[in-house]
Amino acid sequence: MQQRKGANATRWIVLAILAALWFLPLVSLVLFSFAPPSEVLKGGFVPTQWTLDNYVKVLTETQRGVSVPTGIWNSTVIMVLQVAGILLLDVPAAYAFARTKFIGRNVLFALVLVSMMMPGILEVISLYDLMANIGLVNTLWGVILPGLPRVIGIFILRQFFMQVPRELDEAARIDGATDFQVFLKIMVPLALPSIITVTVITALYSWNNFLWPLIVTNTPEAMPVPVVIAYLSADTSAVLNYTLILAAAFVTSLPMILLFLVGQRWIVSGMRPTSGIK
Amino acid sequence: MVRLRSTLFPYLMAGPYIALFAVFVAYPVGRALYMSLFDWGIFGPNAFVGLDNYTSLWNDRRFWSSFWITSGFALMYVPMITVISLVLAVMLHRKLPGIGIFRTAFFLPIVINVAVAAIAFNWLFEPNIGTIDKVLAAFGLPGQNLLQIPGWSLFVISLVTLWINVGFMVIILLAGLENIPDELYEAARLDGSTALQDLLLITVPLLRPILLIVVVLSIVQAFQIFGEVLIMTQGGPFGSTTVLTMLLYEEGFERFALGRAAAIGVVITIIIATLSFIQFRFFRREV
Repeated sequence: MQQRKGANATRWIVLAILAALWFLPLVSLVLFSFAPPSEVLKGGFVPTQWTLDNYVKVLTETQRGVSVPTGIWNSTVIMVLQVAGILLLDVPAAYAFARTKFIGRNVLFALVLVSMMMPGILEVISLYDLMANIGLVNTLWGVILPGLPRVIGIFILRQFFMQVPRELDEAARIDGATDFQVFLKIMVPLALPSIITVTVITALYSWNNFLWPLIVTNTPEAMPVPVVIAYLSADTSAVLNYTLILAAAFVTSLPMILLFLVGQRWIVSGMRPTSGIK
Repeated sequence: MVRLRSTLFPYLMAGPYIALFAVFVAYPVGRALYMSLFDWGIFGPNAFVGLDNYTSLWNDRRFWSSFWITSGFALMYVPMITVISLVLAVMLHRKLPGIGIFRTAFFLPIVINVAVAAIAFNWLFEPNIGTIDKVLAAFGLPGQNLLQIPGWSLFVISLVTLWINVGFMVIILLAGLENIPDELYEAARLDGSTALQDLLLITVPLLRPILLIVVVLSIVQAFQIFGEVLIMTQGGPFGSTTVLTMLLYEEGFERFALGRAAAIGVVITIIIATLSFIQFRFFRREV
C-alpha cells in the first residue's frame, strides 16, 4: 500500500506537468488574444496590458479581405446542413446494412469500409474537377455535399443496430407493423444515444474540416472558419497583426470548445474502437 | 404488394447514401486513377500518356526528396505518438484526484482545427517573443526560429500533429485497457513486479491489437499530413518540409498539372495501403 501511494504521487506529478504542457499552446494563444499589439514585441508568458480591441476588430472589420463573422456564418450553415444530411442518410442506411438483406450488401459495405483508409488528398483533385463542372466551386453546397457520405456515422450506427435483439422487431411485426414502422417507431428511439454521438462528432468534423474547404473555396464569401484562419495567418510576417489572428483563432474555436465541455462523453464514445475508428 | 414493399425496403433505406457515396467518393477515386494516366491541364485532358506521370515521378528528384521527408516525418511521429499515448493512457486509466482536468488537457485539442493549432504553435515558437524562445533564452540559448531551420521545422510540425492527435489515440487505448482484468496486475504485484514490468509484461502484450491500430492510424496520418505544413512552413525552409501532400498541392493547384498531381495521390494511397497491409499481415497473426 505504501509503495502504491508513492507511485500515485509520481503519476500525479508527471500527469500535471504533461497536462500543463498540453494546455500551454491554447493558454498562450488566449492570453495574448487579449493583449494590445505592442505586447507582442515584448512577448513572454503573460501580457502586462489587456484589451478587447482585437475581438472588436476581428468581429466587425474585414481583415486581409476575409471576414471572421462571414466565416462563422458559413461554418454554421455548413455544420447544420451536414449534420442534418448525414443523420437523414446514415440512420436508414446503417439500419439497412445491419438488419436487412439486399443484393450487393456485403460488397457495398466492404467498399465503404475500404474508403475509410483512402487518403482525402486522393479525391480532392478529381472532386474539384467535378464540382467545377456542376458549378459548385465557391459555394457552400460545394463544401457540404462531398462531406455527406462520410463513413463514420454508418459505422457507429450499424454497430448499434446489429446488437439490438431480433425478438424486438419480430414482436412488432406480429402486431402488424410494417418494416418502416419498425424502423421509425422502435429502432430510431432505441438508437438515440448513438445518434447523439454521430451528431456531435459530425458537428466537430464539419466545423474543423480543412483540406476540402481550402480547395473548393477561394472567395471570402464562401470560406468557412478554418480557411479564413489560414488566410489570416499567412500574414504573420506583420507581427503587429498577431494579436488579431490569435483573437480570430480563439473566437472561432469557442463553439467547439463549448461543445467539448458539454459533449465530451459523446466525443469519447464516438472515437472508441467499439463504435468505430477515425 | 406487401411483399414487394418488403423487398424494396432495404434499397429505399440504403439507396440515398449509396448514391452519394458513388458520386462523391467512388467516382472521384476512380477518376483520380483515370486522370493520372493523362497529361491533364486546367482545361482538361491534353493527351493520354499511359504511365508517364508515374515514371516521371520516379525520375524526379523533388518527388524523392518529398518521399524521404514524409518518411522522416513518419519515423519521428509514429514512435512518438505511440509511446506517449500509451504512457498517457496507462496513467489516465486509474482514478486520481484531478483526473478529469488531466483528461481534458489531452482531449481538448481534438476539437481544435488544424489552422488554429498551427497558429498556436507558430506563436509559441515565434523567435525572440514566443514562450518557447523565452524558455530557451532562460537557459542561455540564443533566440532562434526553429521553424526556419531545416530539420527542426519538420520536428516542430510533428509536435503540432502529436498535440492534436494524442487524445484520440489515448481514447482508443483507454478502451483497450478496460478489457485487461485488474487481477493480472494484482497477481503481478504480489510477485513484486515494478510498474515498468507491469507495463512491458502485461499491458503491452495484451494491448497489442489496439497498439497495432494506433501504429497503423498514425502512419496513415503521417503520410497525409498537410494543413500543419501549409500554414506553418509552406513546405520551407528550402523545401525541407515539402511532404508528399504539399508536392501534390503545388503540382495540382499552383501549376495545374492535374494528371501528375493525381499520380502523386495514387502513390500516397499505395504507400499507405502497403504499410497498413504489412503491419496487419505480420503483427496481427501473432496476437
